[in-house]
Amino acid sequence: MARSLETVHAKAKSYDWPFTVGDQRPKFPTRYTIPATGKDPFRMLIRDYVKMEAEKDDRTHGFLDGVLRMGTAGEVQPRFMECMKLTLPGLTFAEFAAVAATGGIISSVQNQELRQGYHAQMLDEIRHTQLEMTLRDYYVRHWRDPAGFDISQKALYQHPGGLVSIGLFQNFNTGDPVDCIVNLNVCVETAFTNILLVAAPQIAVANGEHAMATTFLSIQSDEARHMANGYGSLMAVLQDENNVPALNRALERHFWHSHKALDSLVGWQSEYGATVRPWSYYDQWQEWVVDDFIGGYIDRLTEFGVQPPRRLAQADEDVRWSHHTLAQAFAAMWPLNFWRSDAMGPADFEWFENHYPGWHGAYGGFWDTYRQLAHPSSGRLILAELPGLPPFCQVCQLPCVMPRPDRNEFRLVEWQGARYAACSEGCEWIFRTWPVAHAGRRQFWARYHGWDLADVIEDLGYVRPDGKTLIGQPALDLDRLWTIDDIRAIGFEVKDPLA
Amino acid sequence: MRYTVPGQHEVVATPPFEGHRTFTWFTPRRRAATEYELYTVGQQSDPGQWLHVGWPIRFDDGREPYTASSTAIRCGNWAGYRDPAGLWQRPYVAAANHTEQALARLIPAELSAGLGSGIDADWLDPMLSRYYAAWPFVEYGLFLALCYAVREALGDTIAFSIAFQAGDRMRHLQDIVHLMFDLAETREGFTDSGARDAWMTDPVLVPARENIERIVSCRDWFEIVVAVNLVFEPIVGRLMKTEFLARNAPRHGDAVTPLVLASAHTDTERHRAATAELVRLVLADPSHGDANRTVLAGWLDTWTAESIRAAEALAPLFSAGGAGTIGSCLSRVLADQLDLLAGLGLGGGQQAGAADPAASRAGRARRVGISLMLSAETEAAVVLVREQMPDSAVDLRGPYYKIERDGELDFDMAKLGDRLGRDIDTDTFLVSMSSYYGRIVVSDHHVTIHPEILPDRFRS
Repeated sequence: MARSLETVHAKAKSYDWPFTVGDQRPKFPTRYTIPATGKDPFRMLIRDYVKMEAEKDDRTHGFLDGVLRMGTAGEVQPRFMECMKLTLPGLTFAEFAAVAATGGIISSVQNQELRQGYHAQMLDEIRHTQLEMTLRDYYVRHWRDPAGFDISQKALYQHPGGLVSIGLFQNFNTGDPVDCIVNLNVCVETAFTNILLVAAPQIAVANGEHAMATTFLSIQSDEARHMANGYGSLMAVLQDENNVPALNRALERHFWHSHKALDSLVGWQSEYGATVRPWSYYDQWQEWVVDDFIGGYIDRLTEFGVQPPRRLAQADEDVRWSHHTLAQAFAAMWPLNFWRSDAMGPADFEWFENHYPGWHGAYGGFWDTYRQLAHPSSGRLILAELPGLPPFCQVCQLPCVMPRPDRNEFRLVEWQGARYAACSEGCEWIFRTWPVAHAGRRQFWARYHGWDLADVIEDLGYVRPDGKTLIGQPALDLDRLWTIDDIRAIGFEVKDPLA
Repeated sequence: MRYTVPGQHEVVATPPFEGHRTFTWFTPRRRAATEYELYTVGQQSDPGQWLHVGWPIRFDDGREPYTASSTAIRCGNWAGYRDPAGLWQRPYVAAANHTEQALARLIPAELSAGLGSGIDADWLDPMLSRYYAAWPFVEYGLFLALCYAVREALGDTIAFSIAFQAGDRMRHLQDIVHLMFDLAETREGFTDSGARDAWMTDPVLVPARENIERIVSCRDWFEIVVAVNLVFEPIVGRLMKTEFLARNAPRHGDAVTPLVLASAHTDTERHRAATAELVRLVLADPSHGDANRTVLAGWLDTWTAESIRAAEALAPLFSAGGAGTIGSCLSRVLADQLDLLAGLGLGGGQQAGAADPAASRAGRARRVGISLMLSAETEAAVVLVREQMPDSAVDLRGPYYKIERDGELDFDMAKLGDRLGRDIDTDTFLVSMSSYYGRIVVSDHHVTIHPEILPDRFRS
């Protein structure tokens, strides 16, 4: 038994055995056959893992300690921090959901080597959850406006923007175990989180926030192993060609869902949460998703029958607009946010038009009006100026005004006598294919149908400790903040568009 | 408040911002939230709490992501669970790293210093090469079982606690693997190639294997945690690892196996405490506590019988490699497990919550007291008593306080430190103690005075 990483790892993964008693049925049924072979290319042993992670923790937590002395919390662009009140809890939920996901995957994949890879991932996901909570604790203590960070877990589960995150990430641990792997390890971790965790830190630094950059980059240093878990699992599943059709459907489903949810949210954080924009989201998407993920990964699996997502071209078209539309929707519903929504100004207009030709024609008018109504003395809400409230997509949870209000692809889908909203052909396809999985969520607006907006805000708890000032505000430079009384005086009644 | 934005010259006047400077979605157990609470509590919610619009995603067959039916235990306050160790990722990884680095350094060093050649041949083979070498199968099985519980657990603090337990299992598995390599490098001809055969076919281990297989097959996540931490590990795990291997290794010239076992033992104690706390939570549930007690009792009966069978099968090891027979060791292990359960109000002990006819006449007999000379520590202790044990009588008598209570006086050093403003250990606390009555127990972090003059284990 000559010792090397290979021999120790080979031995450490040799403890599977065929059970002779007990209930042998799978705990999480799968439509796939999962061969008992599969590789963890990192050959991660616990002894090495904890050594590596302890070093990472020392560096990252050390920085979070040092950043207090640097006093940089006061130097961050307010836009960035305000958007982080939604973005960061949304990401933390992804990490948390992934902890349970790895528990389910380990229970389902009859292969010790893969199980060990997913076990390291389980510990990683706990690390990421708690590292992000450390960052949120830093923000709530030191960012000049803590309101929103202080309630962000409750708010995450109740705000429509939080549901975009929950709708995508709960799917990590809720579904066929192989589909969950395709969602978590293949689509989200190999493709989309690169933009959030690698590229977005550049935005953070450009806007004065270094703690987030350090934390996210340390997190992403674990994600490379998660990509390898996804790759190892895919290669195992692809050994049986009967798995290929289901695998392609799962890839189609989760690529589209990830695109809808993450491109909107991360694009919004990157561009509408920034004053300084070192890049455009669309360009980053081309690099990380199209070139690296599709071109450098999925295309190379085509010889095994894997098909690149059929809706890639549609996603490419949408990604030019969807985050702008989400930004507009979030701004329009600003009283219902647990962050302050800044108004875009002339410098923003110029940047957007340069990077997204046609932007001004589609969105400029909205932002002009938004700015005019931003002060509480206006006595008006832009929400009240809309023809109606948009329903939220039953699949991706985005408002059904996508990809652009003037190119809205909203459609109603009937299933078992009820009507459901879908924002796009892709989401309609997902709903029709997996209706039971997606039909359970009620419309946010339905809960508050007939309520005065002020009562909705109070029910959600989006009022500051003085009992009257709103957490959400429509600009960052107000000399007087909106109060619940201002909203009540307007008398806006919420109407469920599907009622 | 005024602020300037980098890259812009504008100076904007805004009103000051009102907001809480901490997370508000949970109530800390101590005065201020611990890092453990801040970083753990509130991750998991459901339609009964915050997710009012219902689950946005379900399993393809319509099952919700988390369901009460994932366990037969019912609890209205899963979110109220707190790991008594308050463990979170950074200290978990740091501690594991320290342990692993120590094992990686010490074991090869000890073996190469000549201790390896002194291990008795009949201990090395088959006790280590065949039987301890098979223990990674146990750890792997328990790891698998616990991972399922991580997926299904109905609370974030519960899931994380179990995830760390699963991590420990995988680590213990690999510690044994490392040890096998260390032994092979020290003793020519050493091989553990018989371990798999022992695990699959040797009558000494087959009942343990079947016990593990049934635990892994179990579909109730809470039952798994109970079967692992309150039954299998206290009976089979302790019999094999502590009573047989750790006690007998030195007699056979083996100084290294106890090192590996000691690190596992520390983790096992933490798992047991975490599970005990979980059991306390569900027994205290006002609506379901009694039903939960019945469910737990049924599980304990089933799994204890299974684990006793697995434990008894280990008898040949004690005959061949032990100082005596299995009998006294098994009795001790079973008695301690009963103590553990009795302490939770389960099994052979007093039924917690049941009417106690003696209580009304207990009166003075249940009173305990402590006298503390005035000091900063004492002032903090008085604050603690008034907050945590308000039914106590606190009497200032010139230079000292006398504190008395019907029941138990417990001074938790962590809570005391909170009120004192600095950490305090039991030794420092005892500096201020002039006298007491009742039965005092000093542990690492508590000074407790019990009314029962004898520990439960001495009662018939």
